[in-house]
Amino acid sequence: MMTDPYRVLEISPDASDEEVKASYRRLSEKYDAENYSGNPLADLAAKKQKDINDAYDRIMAERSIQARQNPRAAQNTYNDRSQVFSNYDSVAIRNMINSGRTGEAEETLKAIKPSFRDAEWNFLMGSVAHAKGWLDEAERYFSIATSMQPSNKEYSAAYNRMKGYRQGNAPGNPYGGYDTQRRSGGGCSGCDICTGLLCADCCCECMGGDLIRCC
Amino acid sequence: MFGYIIPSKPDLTIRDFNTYRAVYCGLCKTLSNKFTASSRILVGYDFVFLTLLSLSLKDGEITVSRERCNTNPLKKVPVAKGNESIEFSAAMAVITAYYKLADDMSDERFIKKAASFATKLAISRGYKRAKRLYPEIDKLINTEMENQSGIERNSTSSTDLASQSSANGLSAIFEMLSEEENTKRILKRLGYLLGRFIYLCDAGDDLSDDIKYNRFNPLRNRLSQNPAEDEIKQAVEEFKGSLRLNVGEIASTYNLLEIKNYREILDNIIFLGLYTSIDNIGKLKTEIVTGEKTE
Repeated sequence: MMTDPYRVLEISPDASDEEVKASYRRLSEKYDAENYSGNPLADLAAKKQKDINDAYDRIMAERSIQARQNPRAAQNTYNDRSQVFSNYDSVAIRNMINSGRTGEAEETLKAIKPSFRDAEWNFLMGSVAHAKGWLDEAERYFSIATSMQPSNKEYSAAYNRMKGYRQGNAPGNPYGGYDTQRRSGGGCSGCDICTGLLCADCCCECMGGDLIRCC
Repeated sequence: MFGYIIPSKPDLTIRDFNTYRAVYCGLCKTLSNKFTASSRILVGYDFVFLTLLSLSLKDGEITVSRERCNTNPLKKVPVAKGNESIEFSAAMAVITAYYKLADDMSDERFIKKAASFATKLAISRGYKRAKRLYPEIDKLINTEMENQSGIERNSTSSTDLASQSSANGLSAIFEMLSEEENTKRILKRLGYLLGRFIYLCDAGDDLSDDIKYNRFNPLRNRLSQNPAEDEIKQAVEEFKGSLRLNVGEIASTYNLLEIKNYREILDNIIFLGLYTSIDNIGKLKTEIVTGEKTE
């Protein structure tokens, strides 16, 4: 069953080549492996990325244009960045986290002697916490891992991503950046959907007017 | 009662606003008709979100009819009804409310205890019906409430630990929205992160009162013994960074779902509404509605 590639890229079939490319870029950024490194749903993000790549290739082939110049690198699974440590089996622990065995991973990590708890250990503890949804704890561990080994790109990517979220940057935000101005400019909260507006319309109609025409 | 998973109203189109309100009214009607007349007070924005998400994943659409509003019988309003998604949300609203009320009854103050007891009694028939429909969820929420009591008795400064039970509850509810394995994985995490968000927003909003009435709050230990209002406000403001982090993770999880319908409303809630909730924490109700700061 072939999915419509235009639907996957969220564009109409008569979109211009520029629009196709722009949409491809936007969606690619959203599902970039970097955004999901250490995330328990990383494999699903990778699948979405692959779907997007395939859709783009198909559309471009149909339009007889050269396929994208720089083929995207194969999905960087969590494992690709692993290193072997002599004091404990980091690869094995990463496998556990990858396959959802977070409890096992956590137990193994906690059994490691304090003197062996290096940057990698902190990063793995952070990843376990992150997989559990313990975000504040995850951030603390990623922060320690980054300060112990500032040159490690994997650690700093995870930490910086969380710092970005903390400042209000949501990935794939269709509205652009987080803007404090617009929010404090007298906007009402969802609360008065029922109370404020409906009551106003209600009273208005009772008096013979009509605030919301369709009601 | 209203909830933290809200839309940003100024950014909704009128069409989307009408859809949202039809679902809201539909929930109210379904609670009244299928559970108990008094359980319609349980309708909240969080469950409107649950309904819309459920419809979206199932590629379902609401059918809207005009009916008399239960609260203001002079008015006829558009109501979405007779829909599996709405009925599921209504049942979930009753079950979660029941346990929350039971928890409120352990409050020291008599007035609060009495009010919670009265409400609990009023919805008990509806609760029993909901429990019969979804016994596994009822059991799970019951267990999580007990876990929560244990955690609070032992006190903790960990926001992660304190929010875990609420998070687990919502996680189980969201997981029920799909039968497909991968979608279930995403929903499980999304529900967890939303449950965590709701609990912690509540903790931020209630911090002042919790200190006054000596109730558990994971943020308590960030403050001095007898904190002034300013100190509390400052702590809450700093805490908002954690809540924004939570929203970022929610968004990243939400992005993985196949949203077939109501995309704009759901995007509005996730990418605008949640931040609005955060901004509203610590504000007085009047400030929220008028947008004017009160000194």
